[in-house]
Amino acid sequence: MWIRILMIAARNLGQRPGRTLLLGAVVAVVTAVLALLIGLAAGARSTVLTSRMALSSGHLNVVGFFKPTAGQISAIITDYQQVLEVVRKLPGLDHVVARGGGYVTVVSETRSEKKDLVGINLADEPLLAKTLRISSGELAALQSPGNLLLFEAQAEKLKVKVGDRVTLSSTTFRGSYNAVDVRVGAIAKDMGLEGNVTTFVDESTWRRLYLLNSRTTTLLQIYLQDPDRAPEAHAQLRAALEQAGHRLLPHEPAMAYWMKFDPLTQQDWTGQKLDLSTWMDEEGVLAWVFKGMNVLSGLLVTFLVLLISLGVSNTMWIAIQARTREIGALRALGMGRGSVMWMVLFEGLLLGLAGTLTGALLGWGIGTAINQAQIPLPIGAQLVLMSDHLQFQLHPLGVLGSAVLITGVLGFMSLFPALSAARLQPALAIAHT
Amino acid sequence: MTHPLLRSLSSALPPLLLLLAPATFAQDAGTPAVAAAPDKTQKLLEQIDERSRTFGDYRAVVQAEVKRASGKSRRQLQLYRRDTENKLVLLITAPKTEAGKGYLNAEENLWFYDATIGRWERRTAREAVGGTDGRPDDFDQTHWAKNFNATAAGQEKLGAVQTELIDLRAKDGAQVAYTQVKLWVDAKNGNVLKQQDFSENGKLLRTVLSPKWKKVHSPSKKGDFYYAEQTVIYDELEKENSTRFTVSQIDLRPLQPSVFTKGWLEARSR
Repeated sequence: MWIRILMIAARNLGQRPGRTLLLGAVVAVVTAVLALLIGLAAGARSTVLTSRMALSSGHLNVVGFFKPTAGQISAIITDYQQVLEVVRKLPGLDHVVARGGGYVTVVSETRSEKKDLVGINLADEPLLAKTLRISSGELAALQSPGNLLLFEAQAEKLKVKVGDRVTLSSTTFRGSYNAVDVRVGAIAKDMGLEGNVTTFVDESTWRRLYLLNSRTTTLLQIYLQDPDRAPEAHAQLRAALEQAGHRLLPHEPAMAYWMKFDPLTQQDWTGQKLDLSTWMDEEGVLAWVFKGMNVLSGLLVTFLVLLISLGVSNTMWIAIQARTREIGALRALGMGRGSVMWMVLFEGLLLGLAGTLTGALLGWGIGTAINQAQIPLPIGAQLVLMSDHLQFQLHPLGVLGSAVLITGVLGFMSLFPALSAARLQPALAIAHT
Repeated sequence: MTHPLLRSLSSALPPLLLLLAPATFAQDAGTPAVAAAPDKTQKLLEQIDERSRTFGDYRAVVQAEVKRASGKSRRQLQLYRRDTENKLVLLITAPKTEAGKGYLNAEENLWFYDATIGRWERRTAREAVGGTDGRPDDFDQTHWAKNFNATAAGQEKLGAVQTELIDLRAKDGAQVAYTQVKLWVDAKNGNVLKQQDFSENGKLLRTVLSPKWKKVHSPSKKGDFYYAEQTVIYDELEKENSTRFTVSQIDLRPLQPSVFTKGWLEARSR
């Protein structure tokens, strides 16, 4: 019986091909837009997270703040091996990376730029090596002392190329000035805002600049087997570090560690305190950008879905009005109210399903084509999205989800005309003019 | 580019400015010629420090001419010092966009007041004052003897002026911006004519030239107070950067204690 009703519904749609095609096309376009918006948001988030995890944050981060006097502050962990011992016992730990940090003036022959300097041990940085795209020189240069990695925009501003010498100048954590000469060992493709402000140098050069021994670092970036476990692991690590006798700063959600320098400088304590944050905290402003993006695309899609739902519903009402006598005849021939309702409902669902499946395929195709075309992004968008080209992340489930959602909404909106059709009295319906 | 005459002072070439105008340096017949023996070198540092102190209050106007690759700009600052309490206030009075901002150095803390947002921030003593090449220390009394060990490095002619060359190394635990410093001290009167500041690993970072010195009688000191009327600071890393400071309107009369408070500095911008 269901198949027969389904066939009647399909035949009804086929009897008005113009209307069906128009409505189906609108549904397809909206589905494609929804799939692309979801893909864009997912792509941006994925690119940002991958870049962030490689460039500036672990799933969890332990930063040391050291205040020799109330008015001075340095981002260092003294005797970091002790902290590392605690971190290594963390359940679900994948790996830990120790990084040095600082703020330097990079001086070339003709220009100077202020940058965040990160001292790395390249052998411990598989994620960074995988994420950076080297456009000139060799990333392996950072395995030798005295080599600097710049991003393309930085190298352009400083007017340097691989092999050129630049000077890194900064104040040491003791408060005196120091400077070291380094060679530009590698230039990487730009990676948005992070890539604009960060430069990398080998760990020994970082120590030479800041006159620090091998027991000192700035930051421990902790990578978990399951990044979603970060909040739970954060609580576990806090408890473990406190138990081991380390002084901790209170957790401030959604506040990246670099934002804490000013408020901490105003505080009166001295000595070492550790700060623990999750990658969500370090996301900071970007979290708001993504939330804003999600809200905007949500509003747009809601508006579009509402529009086509009203369109489909209205078309169904008109169709029922036009087919009142036909429905009356079907009822007189013995078709039950339920069957009439399902017949109309199936019309809406079939229209929705055909439209959304076409739209899903359309969205998938457009997204894949754009990904392959590597369409360059303007600088403003690059800074936020940490990528130099437009990238959609199209998950089959996401695309299918869009199709199911829109089909469901269209089905729901067809329910009202369907119920109305089911309530028609056969005699009155046949007499309808 | 930097001033060619003053720039030449920082090189090994004969410094033209000093050669042409040795008379511009304040003469102090009362100061004995400098001896280069180690103990005497340390003594000389103490003399230099003593000369930079008023043992009372000090007020002056400082004009700053800042040179950058992007162009020139000017600043004007009011300088207030109470040497006996190690207090210093620097109030920016020009240009208009910067006016009202200032620094308060008291109780070993340096505070910066941003008048545009009405907020105080703690800063380090390495802060470049108001976008110039000067640090707060450059405007304060010197503490060479307290913070550095001195070694005589011979004599050198700076133009027509015979100078004692002194190598300074920071003492352990001393809170100084530059741990290695070279001073060229006028052998006749003890004026520091040239100073070179080096990084921890010996890289030249700044050259400071002070060709014009003046003295003022300080009643609180019951003696003379010496100050460099004109100082040019050259950034040796960012070669385009330099700042010429000119000090004028020296006033050694006592200042109100309220001058060295946050409230006083805030009130200047209202």
